Amino acid sequence: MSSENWHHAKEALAQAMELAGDERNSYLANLQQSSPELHAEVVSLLESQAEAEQQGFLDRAAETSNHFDDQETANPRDAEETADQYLTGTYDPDRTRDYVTTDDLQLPPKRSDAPSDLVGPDYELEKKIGQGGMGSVYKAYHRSLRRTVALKIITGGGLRDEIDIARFHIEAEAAARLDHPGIIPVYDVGEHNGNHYYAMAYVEGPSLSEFVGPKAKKLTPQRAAEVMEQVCRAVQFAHDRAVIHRDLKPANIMLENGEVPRLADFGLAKDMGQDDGLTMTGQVMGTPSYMAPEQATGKLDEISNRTDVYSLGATLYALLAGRPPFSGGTMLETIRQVVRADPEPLTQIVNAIPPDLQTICEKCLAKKPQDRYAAADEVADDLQRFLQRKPISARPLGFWARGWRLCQRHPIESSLLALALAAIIIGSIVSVNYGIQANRALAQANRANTKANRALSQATEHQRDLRDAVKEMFVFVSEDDLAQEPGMQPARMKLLNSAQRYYSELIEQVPDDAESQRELADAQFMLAKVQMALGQDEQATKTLDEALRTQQKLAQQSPDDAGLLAAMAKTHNQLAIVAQKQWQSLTQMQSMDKLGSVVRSEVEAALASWKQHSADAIRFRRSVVALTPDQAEANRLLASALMNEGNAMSIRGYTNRDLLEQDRARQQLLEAQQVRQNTLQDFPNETLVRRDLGRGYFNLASNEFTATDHESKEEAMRARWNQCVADLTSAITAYEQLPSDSLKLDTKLELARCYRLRADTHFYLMDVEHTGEDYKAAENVLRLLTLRNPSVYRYRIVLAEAQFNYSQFCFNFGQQELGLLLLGKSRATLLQSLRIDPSSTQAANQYLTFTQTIVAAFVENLRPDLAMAETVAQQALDEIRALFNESKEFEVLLPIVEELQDTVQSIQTQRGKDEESSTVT
Amino acid sequence: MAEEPAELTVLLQQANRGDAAAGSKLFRRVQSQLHSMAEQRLSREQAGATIQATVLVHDAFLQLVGADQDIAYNDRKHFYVLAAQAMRRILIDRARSRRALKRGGPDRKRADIVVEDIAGRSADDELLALHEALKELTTLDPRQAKVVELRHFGGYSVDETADLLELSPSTIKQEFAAAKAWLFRQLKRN
Repeated sequence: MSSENWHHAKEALAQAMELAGDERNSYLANLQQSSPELHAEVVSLLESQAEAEQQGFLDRAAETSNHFDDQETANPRDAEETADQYLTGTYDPDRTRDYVTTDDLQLPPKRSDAPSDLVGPDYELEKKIGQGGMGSVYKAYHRSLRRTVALKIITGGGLRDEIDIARFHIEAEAAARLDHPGIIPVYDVGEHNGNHYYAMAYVEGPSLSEFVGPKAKKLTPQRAAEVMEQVCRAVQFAHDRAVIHRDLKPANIMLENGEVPRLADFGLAKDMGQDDGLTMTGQVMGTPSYMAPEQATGKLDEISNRTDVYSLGATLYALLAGRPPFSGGTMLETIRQVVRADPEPLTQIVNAIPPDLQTICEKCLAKKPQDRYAAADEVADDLQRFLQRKPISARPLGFWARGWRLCQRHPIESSLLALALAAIIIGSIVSVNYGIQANRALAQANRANTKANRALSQATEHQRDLRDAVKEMFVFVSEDDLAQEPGMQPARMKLLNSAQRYYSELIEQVPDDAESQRELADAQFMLAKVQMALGQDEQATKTLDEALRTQQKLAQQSPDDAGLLAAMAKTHNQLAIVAQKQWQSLTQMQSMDKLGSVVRSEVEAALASWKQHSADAIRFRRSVVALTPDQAEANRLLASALMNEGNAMSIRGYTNRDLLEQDRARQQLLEAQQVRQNTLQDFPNETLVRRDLGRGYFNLASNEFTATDHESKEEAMRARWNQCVADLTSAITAYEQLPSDSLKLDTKLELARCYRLRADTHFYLMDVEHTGEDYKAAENVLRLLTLRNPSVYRYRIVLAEAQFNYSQFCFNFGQQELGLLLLGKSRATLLQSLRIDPSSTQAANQYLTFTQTIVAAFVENLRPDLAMAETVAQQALDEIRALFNESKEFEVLLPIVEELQDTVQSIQTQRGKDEESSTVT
Repeated sequence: MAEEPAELTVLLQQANRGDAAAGSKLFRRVQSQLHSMAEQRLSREQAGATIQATVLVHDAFLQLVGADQDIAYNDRKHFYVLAAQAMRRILIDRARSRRALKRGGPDRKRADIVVEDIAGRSADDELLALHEALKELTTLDPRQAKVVELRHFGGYSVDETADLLELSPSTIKQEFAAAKAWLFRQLKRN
């Protein structure tokens, strides 16, 4: 509408409004005659006016309604002065020590391998003292600081790409913070001509690897224990600061002047790319001889300080035996041994090894992390006791005699299994095809076994053992959160496809007896899960229905079989998940569907199926509990089913804006909590139940949090937010009561989410003090997670979100400077995620959205800085264009890219105007 | 800060004479003052208390300019108009960051099922939508948009608004009613 037309309409509207009843009608009738368009406009406005009056639109003047805290609105002048530093460029959030900056990460176009210009003029290379998979080590002189250093230069393809480089810098900075006499200090991390390097103190002396090997002169057991005790103390120091070495081995321990052991390469030496397994390409993986099983099989999730404890034990073993505990002809063979085999007892290799040292080694080298020493200083303490001739804490467990023998009796199958396991981690080294071939071979072996060995119960048992292992592997690739990481996708899909083939073949040839039918149902269930992971939901539903039929037939014969009932509950649960997914996508389509082509009956059918299967899952799990009331796991699963239904009610209530349904959801969720609490009374040490208790409280809180969206009264919203805070406090207590060594990384992520949601809620309640505290707590947990696992995309995204929300909070409470700092951090975090997965449009989208907000903060700040706003926006656009250069994914980003371009343009216009006006005055 | 009031008076005079640089400096000063006053004020109130924007603006004026300053009537009016604009900005900023916070939003963890979030529409969204619609109205009818800003965001009465814009109260009423009709329809369309 033009402004002229509007003025006509406005006048006519004013006249019409002054009139009432018939007078107005006749005025409108006249208007219709003279100008139908104007008439239509006025009628539309009159209708709108009536409706606006009725709803009280704009009746109340805008109000600020809040409750702030005096303390946090501190001295605004102080904040402004530091913010000044920020704005004038003396303070740069991207340049804080904790974060890798954009500039650091940029790859210059060329690399140089000529030693003279490897690291720039400040370092004078004296001689090459080592050569590794990633580059070379030089003895060098640092001119400006006048000291001799050991310079590790990563040349050529050592750091494959920006991801490796980002990780390299993050870890180097973590290592640089370790200040301990037993750890060789890192002085400098840098880049020159495309070569990344770090400088350590130069330590003269042999490394411990000089004492390992067939011809080497070994240390005495006494001396080995002395040296390792000191090493353990240094490792503990690093663990206390959340740094895990991950590549402890004799070559990384220097004996300064042949006396004092000092650790090198903290967190640095391990080959980049190693810890995300499937993304590895071609590069040498390093020796797995000193690696713990969880590390050698790429189970990132289980890497902890006990991974280093294992390597400490392996090093001690090597010093005593003259060779590492495991060493196969090939890498695959070594991995197989690490995972499955027992090390040869020390006493069989060398005479006169004190039994206590053997026990200490055994305890360090336990396959399961929880069977090892809990901390490096516990190893040190035992070594000290040994040296002082006191009794050690570890008990000889008869470790060598037990376990892992099965595989040694069945060499063919177990090596196949090891190959399959290895396929997970080194899939792309040996090419993914190798992994698939291994699976196929495994399936064939299984088929043969099924037929030939059925009669022999021992063999059947063995076969089941084997199948369990395969299942474990496929569950890993289909379900494990870490396998969902972006970089793992291509290999994961291939493994899933082969899993599908494996289970399909298995199903086709199962005999008709009851035992086999049970296994059939299991295989059908697994197949359905794989199909879901592959996105084939329709087929998955069919397969699950088949599984259910198989199970129902069996149930007719043995109705009181708890195992069978539990399996049926699982099938129903899975069917409920598929139905829920379908219902959610249908409702989403329905809300966007203007033509009404989404059929109502389909939506209702999905909903009915969801409710029915959910109820059935609960029913069956109740029966299981009735049959086995004293089994913690049965109770735990019942609580899970109850909670799932509670969550389902919460989602349905939220979608339908039905607050009563959300309140019923709360009751349902509380019932699940009751079951858990009762279970914990009988089994206080069931960590899974306790973790679920935390999850339950978190879900209760989420239910309250989302319900506020549809509350209209401030008071009711407050009540829900307060309830939300109380629930989250209970959740945090539950998580914190978990024994620390049972906290898996994902559990920690859940804890961080609790802090984050509680901070968000405090924010809504305008509780300044607690908001700040909780954001800080969330940030701390998440930063630890990203430090330990620099390459996990998910941790970074959640960290960026927490930092972002925290910044929003700061802007609201006059902490502009801290807010800007946090926004910068959040942006840097996101940029790192982008580099971990450069093709992720999700990360790119979030990056641009955050950038948009950062730009807005500069433009709309109390003291705007348009130049800064423009630079930030332009940088982000360039960055994204470079990453997505003409790729198809770029189209997805177009809307937000264009939005940002518009912003840049309007900033430029505004700046032009500002300059004009400043030249006028 | 004894110099402040005098400085502000000068700024007001300069701004009222059409000095753009002084105008934007003044605006930032007023907004900053209102913002910190809102925080301090509310901290002493009970949770959930509300403050009328007009009261706040009036007090801000006393703080920034001083009661005993000899200040031209026109300059004083200029201040009130600016203050309404500043209040609008403050409210919009808050709504924006709260919404951004929502976008980062809650998430749930389930035993067996992971749930995706569904975006909801809240009061903040409505405020921001009003802000956008009001921007459109400004291009169509700047005077009417000003009336809404003063009445709704500044919290001024019809008479006060009439005084500030040098219009008759009945014109203000008419303009406000028409604006309401137009804005309401615009929001519904979007």
